[in-house]
Amino acid sequence: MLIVGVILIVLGVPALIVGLATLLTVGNYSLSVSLVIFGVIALGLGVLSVLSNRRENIRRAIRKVVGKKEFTLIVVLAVIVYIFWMINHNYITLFNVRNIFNAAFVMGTLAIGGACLLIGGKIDLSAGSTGMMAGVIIAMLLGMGIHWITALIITLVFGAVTGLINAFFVNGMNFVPFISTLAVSSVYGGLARVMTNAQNIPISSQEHPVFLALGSTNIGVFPLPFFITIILLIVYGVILSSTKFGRRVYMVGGNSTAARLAGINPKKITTLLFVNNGVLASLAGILMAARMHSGSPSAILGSDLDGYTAAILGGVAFVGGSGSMLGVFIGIVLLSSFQNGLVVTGLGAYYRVIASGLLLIAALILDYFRENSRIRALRKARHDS
Amino acid sequence: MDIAGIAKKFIKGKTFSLLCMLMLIIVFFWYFSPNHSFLSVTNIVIILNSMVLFILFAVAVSMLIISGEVDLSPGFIGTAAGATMAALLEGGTVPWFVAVIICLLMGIGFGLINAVLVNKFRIQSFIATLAVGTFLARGFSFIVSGGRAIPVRDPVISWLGTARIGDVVPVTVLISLAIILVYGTILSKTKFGRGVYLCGGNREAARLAGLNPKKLSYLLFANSGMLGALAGILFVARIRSGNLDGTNAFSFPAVTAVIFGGISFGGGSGKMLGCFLGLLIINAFNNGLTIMRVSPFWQDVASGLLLLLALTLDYISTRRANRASIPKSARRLKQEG
Amino acid sequence: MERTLEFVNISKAFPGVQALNDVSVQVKGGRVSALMGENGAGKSTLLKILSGDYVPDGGCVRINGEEKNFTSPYQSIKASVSVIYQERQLLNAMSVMENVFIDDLHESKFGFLNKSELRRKTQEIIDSFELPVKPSDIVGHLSIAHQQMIEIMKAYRRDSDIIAFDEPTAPLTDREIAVLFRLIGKLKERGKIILYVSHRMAEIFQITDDIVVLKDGQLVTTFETSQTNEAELVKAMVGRDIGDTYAGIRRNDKIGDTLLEVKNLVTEDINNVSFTLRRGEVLGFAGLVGAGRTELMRAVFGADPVISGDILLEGKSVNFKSPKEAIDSGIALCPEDRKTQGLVLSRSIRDNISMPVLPKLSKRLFMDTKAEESLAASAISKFAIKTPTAEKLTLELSGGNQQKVILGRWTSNLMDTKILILDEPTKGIDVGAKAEIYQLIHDFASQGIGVILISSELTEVLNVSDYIIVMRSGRITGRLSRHEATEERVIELSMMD
Repeated sequence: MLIVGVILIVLGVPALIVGLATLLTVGNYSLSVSLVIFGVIALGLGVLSVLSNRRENIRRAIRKVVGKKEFTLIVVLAVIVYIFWMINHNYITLFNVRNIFNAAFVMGTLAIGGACLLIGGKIDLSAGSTGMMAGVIIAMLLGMGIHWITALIITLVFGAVTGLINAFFVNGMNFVPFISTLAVSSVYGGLARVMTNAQNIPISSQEHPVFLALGSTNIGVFPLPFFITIILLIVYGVILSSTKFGRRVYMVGGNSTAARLAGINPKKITTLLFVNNGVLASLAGILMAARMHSGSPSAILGSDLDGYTAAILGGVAFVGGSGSMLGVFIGIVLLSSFQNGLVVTGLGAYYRVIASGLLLIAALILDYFRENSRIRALRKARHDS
Repeated sequence: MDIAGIAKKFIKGKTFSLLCMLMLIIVFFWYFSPNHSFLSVTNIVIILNSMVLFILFAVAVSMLIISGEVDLSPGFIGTAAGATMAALLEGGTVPWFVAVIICLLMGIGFGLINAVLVNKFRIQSFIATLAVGTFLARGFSFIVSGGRAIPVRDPVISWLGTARIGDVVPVTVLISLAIILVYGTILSKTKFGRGVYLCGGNREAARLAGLNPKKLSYLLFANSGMLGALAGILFVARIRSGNLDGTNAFSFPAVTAVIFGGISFGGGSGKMLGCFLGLLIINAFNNGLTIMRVSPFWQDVASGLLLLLALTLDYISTRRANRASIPKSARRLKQEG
Repeated sequence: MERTLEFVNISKAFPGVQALNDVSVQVKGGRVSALMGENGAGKSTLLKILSGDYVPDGGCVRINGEEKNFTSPYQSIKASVSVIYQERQLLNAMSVMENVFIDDLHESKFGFLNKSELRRKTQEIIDSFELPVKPSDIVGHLSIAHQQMIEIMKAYRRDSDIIAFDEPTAPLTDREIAVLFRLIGKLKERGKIILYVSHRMAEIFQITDDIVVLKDGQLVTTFETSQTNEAELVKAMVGRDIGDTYAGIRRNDKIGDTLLEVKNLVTEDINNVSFTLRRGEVLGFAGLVGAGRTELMRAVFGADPVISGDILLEGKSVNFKSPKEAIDSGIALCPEDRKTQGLVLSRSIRDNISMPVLPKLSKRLFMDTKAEESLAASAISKFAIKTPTAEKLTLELSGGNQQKVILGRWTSNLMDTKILILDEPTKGIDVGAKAEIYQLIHDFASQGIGVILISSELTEVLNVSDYIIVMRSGRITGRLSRHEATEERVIELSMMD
């Protein structure tokens, strides 16, 4: 450990110096920035490993951080960003970063609700069509001249009712969530087109400027929906990690029998999660409608799968009981910056689809190896004891 | 078992309730359709024709569901195979059968990727096949076709898609019926089929009794990919062009139809006959709605409701069965004691 | 006021078995009451009724004279009852403190968790349990013994009036057992009602005050611990007819040459084990749960990987990479857990019997239905399986009949079984069916089959086997012939370090 640290410091210091010097004088941008990045990382790691050699608590802290799923993800994200930036420096410009976050909010909102359900051990494939229905409903309500706040509330209630329906099927009738939510999705898909005759329903900018502003207002440089997503991530992160309800979600998803025997009602928890997912899906649909100035019977469909992809990328276990909102956030950023990066690099749209798939599969395989090493460590610990 | 016992068992069984539902639908649409055209030969052929691709996908998926897994990728693999087919035939240098074989092999290849992800890396089949389908296979079809619909002019392939035996029954219908018959027979009459049920019912018990669940899983995923590719080929033959969306939209409905037909998630039970009846009900239902000029949008709504209805009936019947079984066994025990 | 807990005329049936039949028991606070009985006597069912997990078919529970009808674990916890289950109910992905405070996570103002408070309180409990773990440790990363202690902490922390322990010491080491007993002593002093289920005689006499004996779902009798002894207790537990059960076995006395030889076998769970099995011999494996007997047999059977060592079958070295290879060489295994490893419950008796011989039942492409039906029919008549038809799902059979289906699978005339490994074959089976299975074991032996019998029931393994091997912690600690073996000797060997 000590030797590695010393070597890293020895390599890092000159790299940093040369990088800074060239950055100021020569102006070979990518090489010198790379050198600076390498120098900082090497120096940082070097100092840490030298320190950890001396102090037990630092070593333990490092091991704890490195052992987290989120750490791996951040490293992956950093590598991806670095590679794309090397290929095309326009990748990290305000304009493009804004693009990335702009594209992420629908998927992000759906990912939050979906991740909560996954952690609780269930899945809802109707979120996309619920969002779509919500967009259509609010556009129609606004078209009828209803005040936008009333329309907003009605639409959110619609989402909650959808969640209740799904929860009733899964908890009350013991349907497999995968199949019953798909059925609900099919019903909504049809209904939305029946209601709109498969046409977009425009929202008039004269009559509802405030509502449309929801989708287009910028706070600083970023649009409002992006901030809403971020706030939701923080709120749900706090709920999951530091409230009784949040911890119960993990308990129910991790071992529903244990939770039940400890007096927790798993059905109550999952019902709330379904309702929550319905509400978030409608919110995504509403914001999308505000941004597009219309309710569309085809918008958002499929974004729920993207949301699940992001959540799983972010380390939410498909079988329930683990995952965090920080992970989901990283998953959202990872997936959208990856997809955007592929665009920026000029790679054909078709290769982008494949690349996203490879990313997801790689994340899943990584998970397998991490789980394997954990089991091995566990077995070793048992043998020693 | 006496005849009354067999009859009793049949009436309690899933097949019977599916048949009842089918009869109801037939009578309803026959009565209400204009000129009773629902039961005309032309219309029956139309219904069977609409089932062709569904049958291939549903057979592929039902084998996997019975074995305790699920596969959402065959629809996407079909698109990829269709696009490849069209691209291969475009220049006119590749003979049709070579193209067909390449496409089938490609389908098997995708299936094996699924199998490796599920068996080697222990990824849930739901998410693994979804990733392979929506990303890898879909992306592959984009690349192969270059994003355009490639027309197919090969005479044999076009014949395959359009020919009718005796000017009535399309060849593709016969192919699909043959396939479901063959797989139904494999499932119920061969040791391989028995292995599918046993491994699906209890993988560990099957392994400890000398079966090889892993090998079986590889075979079934490969088979599923191959059937998906075959469906893609038939699709291309029918519309005579490699299409970007191709058979993508078939993946989820195929799973629904299988569940509808009484093949339950979790594995170990279900019959190919149920799968066929499920498909027939759904397609006859949709066709009936079309004949009665119901808008296609309402049809989506109706088929979703139909699925929920089927699930509810299932729920009621299992609950009744559970309620009936417990007191009976308790009674029997008291008699014995 | 003295606390009391009464079970009044409790009955509970499951499909195929009457788990409890009109059981009435009263226990008092400030005393440790043992629930004793063989496997399947109804102890765990009684505890699950107390915890609200099961609702009884008849009868009621009274706490301090007040009638309680629990329909969910929540109500039971509210009524100050804690049950520590034999199957640990832990959240492996979560921390120690969240597991310990699973139903009472502390909240500060604003509804946030008070983690520092949680940590402090958990640390206090950990200190009184003298465990080297931290409140933030992930439970799944702890050793089994420590996990068991966490499970106990969950109940201890609630400070309930009634605490029930279901086999708490099975995975614990002596150090932790000492701590546990000290804590139980403290709880007793504070007037709590303590129910204690264990199979370890020594423990029962060490810490309990009363003993309640159940058998086949019925109350046999109650003792004051100081007024009874082991012999009397065992007699009450097994009942008068049990001696006759064993005496009635027509034993096989023709033991032949060596069939199986295992030399220095090492696996992940097994440490350097050697033994031999002869033709016609019934070789018993005794030991506590988790001693490595199941793991040893799985390795011999090719179900788990072998790290080193030799397995010789009829003198030839074999190396099975899968159960199929072992089966083809004539070895059969009836696994410990019939429902998860033995049977495919959703399939019929016929399907379950023909499982390993499917290739032999194929005529050209198709299954030979007639041959398969006659195979099933012969097994049903040979083992007297109670069923109207071979098409009945194994799910619907009683435990004894399920076990017979598995035995029928391995001994059909299409199988050439030389070695039959039975892992806990009589678990959860009523006495009558047990006697039948003992006789079947010796019938197999008289056909020249070598039988390996793993059993945690001492009287069974002592009375049925010809030769007994005792294991502990993955090693063999003793080898006794039938005449040398006594309960005391085997217990001593299976518990010594």
